[in-house]
Amino acid sequence: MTTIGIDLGTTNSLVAHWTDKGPVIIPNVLGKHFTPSVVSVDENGEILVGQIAWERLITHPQVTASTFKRFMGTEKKYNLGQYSFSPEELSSFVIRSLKADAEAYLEEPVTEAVISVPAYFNDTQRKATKRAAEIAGLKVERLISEPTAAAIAYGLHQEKSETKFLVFDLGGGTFDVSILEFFEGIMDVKSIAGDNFLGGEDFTELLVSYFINSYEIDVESLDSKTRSTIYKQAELCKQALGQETVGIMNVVINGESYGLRLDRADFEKLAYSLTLRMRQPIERALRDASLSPKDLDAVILIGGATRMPLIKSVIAKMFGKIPYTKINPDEAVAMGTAIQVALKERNQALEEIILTDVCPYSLGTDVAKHLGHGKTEDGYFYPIIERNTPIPVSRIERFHTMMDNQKTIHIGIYQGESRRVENNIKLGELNINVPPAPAGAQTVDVRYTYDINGILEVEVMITSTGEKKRIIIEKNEGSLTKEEIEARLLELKNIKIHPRDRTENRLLLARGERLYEESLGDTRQQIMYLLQQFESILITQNDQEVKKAAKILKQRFDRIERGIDF
Amino acid sequence: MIMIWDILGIEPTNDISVIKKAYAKKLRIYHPEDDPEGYQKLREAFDQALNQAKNSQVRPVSSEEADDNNTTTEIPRRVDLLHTQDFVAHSSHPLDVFMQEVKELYIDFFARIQLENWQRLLDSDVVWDMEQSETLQSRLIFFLENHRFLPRSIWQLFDSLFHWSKQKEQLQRRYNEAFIEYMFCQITGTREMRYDFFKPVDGLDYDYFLELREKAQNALLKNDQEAAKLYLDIAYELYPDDPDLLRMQGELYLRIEKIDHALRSFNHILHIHPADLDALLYRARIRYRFEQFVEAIQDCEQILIHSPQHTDAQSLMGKCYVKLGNLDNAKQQFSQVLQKDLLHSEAMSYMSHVTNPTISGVKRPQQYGSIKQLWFNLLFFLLIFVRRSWVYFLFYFIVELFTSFPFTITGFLLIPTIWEVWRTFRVFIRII
Repeated sequence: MTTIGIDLGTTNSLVAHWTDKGPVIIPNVLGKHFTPSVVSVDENGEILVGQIAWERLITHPQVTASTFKRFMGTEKKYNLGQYSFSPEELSSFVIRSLKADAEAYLEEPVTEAVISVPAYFNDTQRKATKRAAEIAGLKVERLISEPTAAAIAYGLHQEKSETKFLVFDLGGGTFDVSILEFFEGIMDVKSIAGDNFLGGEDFTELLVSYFINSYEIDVESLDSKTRSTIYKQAELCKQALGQETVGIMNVVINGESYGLRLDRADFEKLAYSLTLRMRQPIERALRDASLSPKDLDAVILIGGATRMPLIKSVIAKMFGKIPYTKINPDEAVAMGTAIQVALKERNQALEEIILTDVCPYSLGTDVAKHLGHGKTEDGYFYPIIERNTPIPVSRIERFHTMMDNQKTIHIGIYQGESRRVENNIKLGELNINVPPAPAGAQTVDVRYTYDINGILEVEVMITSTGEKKRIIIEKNEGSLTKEEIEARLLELKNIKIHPRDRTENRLLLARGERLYEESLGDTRQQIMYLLQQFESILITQNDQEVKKAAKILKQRFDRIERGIDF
Repeated sequence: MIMIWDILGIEPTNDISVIKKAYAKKLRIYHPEDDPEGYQKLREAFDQALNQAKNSQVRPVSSEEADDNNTTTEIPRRVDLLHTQDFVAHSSHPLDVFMQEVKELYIDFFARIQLENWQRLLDSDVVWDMEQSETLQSRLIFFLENHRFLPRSIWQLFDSLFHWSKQKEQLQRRYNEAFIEYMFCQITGTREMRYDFFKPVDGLDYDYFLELREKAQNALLKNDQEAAKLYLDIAYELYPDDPDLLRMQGELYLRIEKIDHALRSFNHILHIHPADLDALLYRARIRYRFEQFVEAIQDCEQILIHSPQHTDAQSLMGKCYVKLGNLDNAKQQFSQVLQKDLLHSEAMSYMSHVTNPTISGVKRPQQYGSIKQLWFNLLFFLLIFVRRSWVYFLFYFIVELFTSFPFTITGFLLIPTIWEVWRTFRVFIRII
């Protein structure tokens, strides 16, 4: 029984485990610490995951999917070649690949995992994540919020016995702010706020639309390959702006070359509206925790997008302190999940730390109100568990019938902060029959139980009869039954996954194809020649020859890529 | 009360570190993983104990702090900075400097209505300082309460920065409720008036003009014609070339049936701003009333050039064609209106006229003289009525027979029938 920690990210995923010396990131088959969360299907119907799939984003955009975490828990379908996958199934391929890496590295089967999710993930999204792991053949020991994971990675490094800090998590697709306090060996989450639709990808999109607008390019007329190329150039430009003061985009469209140069100040101006969106979650988190910025000892940045200098300067402006960056922002979450594994197993060295979390949003039901003169109006939101309440928690509220001889009481289950339910998210509903009686005579007790994994259970009891009904919050198909999982597993098993041991060579070919598409003229010819040569060596199946050729080819490609990008 | 200390296992205390230590000790017993209920009780006790301790400590401390640190913690109650010239003028606290700049920008009318100036000002470091954010926002809101004449784009800028519209309820609790309501009207633009048409005029008190303009708008909304006229007249004396003022003036003239005057106001607007859609529509309607159908159509066409989705203008155009006897063109206009807006009532009722010329008011085929003919018609319309609404009746009776809803609910089912009665009756009257 081995447990691993998984950081299932929007753009990259990582896997880690606990050792005697602390948490360690497990490298993937290519020796890299992170695996891109990208899935692709090749000509033979084989599934490719990670770096290879990432390379294919440009060459085979039709059969490649990325950033699907953003749609976790929705009914969105990705059509990749002959298959159609849900976001959770795509995630399951990524998890499966991480699991294989861990098993190869640890040399023993892995059966369980702690997986991190954005703090702001709702019930549906958390369940979808759990299912993704189940499909990949892993039992989920615990879902842990990403900032909490990062914080425990950070907390261990702390010398002071009592600290309050803010975790600023700007990932590929989500933005979370959490305020935590560490005292007496307790990691206490005080408040969480966030924006589910703000992330590093939005900054890339910004550059893409800036590029398109400044040349008045008609996006509709572009093929998906060109669009992917523009996107990739924007990504590179964004990364360049992190290291240097100027970023460049170069794209060839219909034989014509378009170039764009912008400096940090330009980029900051472009990103103004996005930086504005970061303010509100921060202010709300501080207000909910009833803290002032001066009470904070540190600001921790996690998520790849916080590498942007722009973010660091905004934070410095907001808090008047330089953010704490001792931990690698990309790896902190994965490290934290591994520590959580150890905590969960009550590892000797770590008995001291206890984690207490909060519920990130208000949960409640819809009620009707008497407006006087016998008039009623329904659709009011009645919070039962208020946002940022410590979890696990269980709360009961009593509701009564509104009409004489009312036959049923309807309990709608909602999540959100608006006074009216139509502005909140509906999680489920439940109807319970009550014995006939005058208005107000029949009452029900509604109990909301929010467990430590962030999963909600609702129970309704008629006080007069003691009859109980429990729910069923699943908005979509809900948690799969054992048989359903088996069935889908069988289905997915029939899909071939590209063999792990050939990943490296396959990656070289995919990369070569991408470089071929991105370059022109002589370089193109050269790449084609190199690829043909490498393929002919591959056919010989002489391991040593192949390894040698692969190494040379990789160096060549590195050189070519440097030449193209700048 | 005593319960919480029992749960924590300590004597009542205000020492936060003692409370925390006790909680940490107990947490190992009531672990959130193993004992959710025990944890919940412990947690609630802990939070209560902390609150008590904090409240008992904070009061004396905060009053001392306030003495030391006047500039940041005190919210200025006297806010009319324009008239208390020397207030905070010499302070160098960033917040005071910022508010001074806000005030200076506001005083210069033509600078104040430029979005860029506010963008530049709001990019100051102090605006981004989270420590100051709360105080800054409340000072700004107090300032705006007395200095509220700004274009919508600037209100939206405030909103995108401070997210006021997401905290409407909290703000209403803390500030003047009427002003917060006003602020939201400005942000959403429900009562937007424009600032782009002002030209520099010597000695004009713009704020006085804007106040009159706003008062006139309020009076018109309440349909207080006398007050509206008074405000509009004074404002017009001050500055006659504001399209929004002229529009209200025209609207008022229309209400008191001074059509010629109204037309003059709308012509004036179109002289200043030829693409003013409201003015064009008003003028088209007046021209329709004066039976200048060709000119009305021209106005409507102008509107549709600028805003092809303008269904009211297109419907009016259709009505003009009906009057001109050009039914094909009218039909085309009405059907386009209905394509854009399926529930456009005017187009709906006219559409049935133009598609069925026998009952059309335009081409009345013959006069119905005799009583016999009248009876015949009555019967005919009764038949039409039954044909159109038998389903409603059937449904109503099924509901009445098989369910036990009171009439207050089932009565709603009769609404479509009443509507049908009214429609049939209207057509019938027209024919007689």
